Amino acid sequence: MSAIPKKSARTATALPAELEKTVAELYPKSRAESFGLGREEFAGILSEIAAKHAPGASTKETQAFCCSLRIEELALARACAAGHNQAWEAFLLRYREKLFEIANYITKESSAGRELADSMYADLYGTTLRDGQRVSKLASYTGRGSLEGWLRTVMAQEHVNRYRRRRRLVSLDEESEEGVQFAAPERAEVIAVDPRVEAAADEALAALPAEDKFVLAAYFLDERTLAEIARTLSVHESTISRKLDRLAKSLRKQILANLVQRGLSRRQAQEALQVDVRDLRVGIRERLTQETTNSSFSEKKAEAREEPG
Amino acid sequence: MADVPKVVIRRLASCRVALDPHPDANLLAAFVERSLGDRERLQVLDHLAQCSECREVLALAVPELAAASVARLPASAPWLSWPVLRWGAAIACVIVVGAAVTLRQKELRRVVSGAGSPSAVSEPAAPVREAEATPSPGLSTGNGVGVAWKDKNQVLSEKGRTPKEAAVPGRAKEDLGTAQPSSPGSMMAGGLAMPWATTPTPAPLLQTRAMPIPRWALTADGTLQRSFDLGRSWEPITVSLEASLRALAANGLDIWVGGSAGALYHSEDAGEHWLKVQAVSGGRTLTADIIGVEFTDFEHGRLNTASGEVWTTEDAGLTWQKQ
Repeated sequence: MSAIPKKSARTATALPAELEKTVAELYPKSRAESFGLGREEFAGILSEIAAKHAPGASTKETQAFCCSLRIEELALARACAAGHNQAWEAFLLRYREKLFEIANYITKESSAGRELADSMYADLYGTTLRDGQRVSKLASYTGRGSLEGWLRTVMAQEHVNRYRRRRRLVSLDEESEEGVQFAAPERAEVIAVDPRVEAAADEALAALPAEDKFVLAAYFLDERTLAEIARTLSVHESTISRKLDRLAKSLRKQILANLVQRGLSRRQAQEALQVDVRDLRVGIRERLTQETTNSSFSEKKAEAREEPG
Repeated sequence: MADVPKVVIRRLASCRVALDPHPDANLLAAFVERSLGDRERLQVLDHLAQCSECREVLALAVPELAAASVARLPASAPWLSWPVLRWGAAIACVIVVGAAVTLRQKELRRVVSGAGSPSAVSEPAAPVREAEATPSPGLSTGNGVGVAWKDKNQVLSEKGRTPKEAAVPGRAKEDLGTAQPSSPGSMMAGGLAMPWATTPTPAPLLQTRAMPIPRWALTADGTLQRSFDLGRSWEPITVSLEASLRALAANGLDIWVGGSAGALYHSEDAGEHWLKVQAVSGGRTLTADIIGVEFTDFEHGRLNTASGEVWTTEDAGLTWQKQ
């Protein structure tokens, strides 16, 4: 591995005595020394993370926060970011293959996975220079979650960003081949909705806990499966199924109640919701089209044959 | 599943409030691993509910192994729904009464005809907690008898582990009757066969709702065992390759097991699929050895640790409170 210009040791901010004690406890546990990180550097990293994620916390809370971090992984990541070779050796041993596995899992394709993993590796290593020093993505790892989990998330973010960028860059040649540029503009569809129903729905949604809204969005908007949502929240699939069932019933009930509050009778509220359930879609084109239809060519030919003579 | 009103879906999609800055990779990773405090978790969830991009990232960032731990129950037919439970209870009562009457008649006939010892009474599908569970007769480790699960708070000393790396693929799975290649989920449930395991009787199809209620036992070295034939034969269930299990609580098909270093696992289908649960309260993760697990029902549970901590849940392990 080529020599990496090492970052100068961070000037450690003076820590309170109680935190010094925490650093003294955590430093040996973190194996930072074996990765090439000095005690002062380590203390500076902890101090920076605590200041960012637990600002204004009491000393006890800050101590608890520091103890909840993945100390060993943090030390490894930051030592890599600082350019310590022994840290890189340890990192490669642990995560090199994993990077490719994660990339393949995310992209679902080996060539795209390899490309993603290589690009990720370059970002982690730090191919960008700033003030003569490499800037490594690992410097942003804070130890809140596992390093592997962080790598997964960073790669997922990169993959999603690339996909969105690619979608925007559409080839004009491809468009003209497909005839897209000659396609008629899409007619706007107007959905006839009672504004009171929408307002009642907004109110019902606003009252939901964040987790419920997330489950609804993931299932109905993103069309995720119950299993996918369940694993995101670390629960059983049946829990999500029951939650959706419960939500469907309670939302319907709440919307009806909100409509009644808005002055509708119970029956009117049910009818308004029932109309909405049928999801009326009124196309502008259909509105403007005449009611008489033109026969198709084959139908006209059949008609001609049938005429006498 | 009941339908959500379409207006709800439309309003959800059209919601365009000013979003907080996207949570960075550290926060999202910590969210997936349940390492965030309650307040931060809610903030992230709130953002996720409104940001499709972050939801997309999250879906990709969840590790594949965790996916295998989630129970693959048919979403369309939640077996814990009230109508199913109600009819299930009624049918169970009829079967119990019918079996009791039949056996009583047989007994009377034997007594009249001078027959030998009465046949074994077939036990009803009682909750596992009330049944005495003993390990397989073949399980003589030389270090002591395998501990019955009913002694929930007993601390098991480390007797050393069996060589779990010597995976004998397929034995437990074959006996379960699954012909398909093992998914990671089923591997976790029964991928390893212990050297001393007696040949278990073929287990009934465990994917159906008519699943017999098993008995459970923990061996001295922290291995979980399951029996579908009232303890006549036992099969080892591999839940974790690292943790030594020390306590369990079972209620019907629902089972929780806890062990060393905060290892906590939950299955809703008699151990076919397991979910690793990480108990987190106020930003602190449970890492002490779990020596006691109690669940009074599906949702209310309590963990006791070797360091004297008590952790409780009221929502089947979704959230935890450290007492």
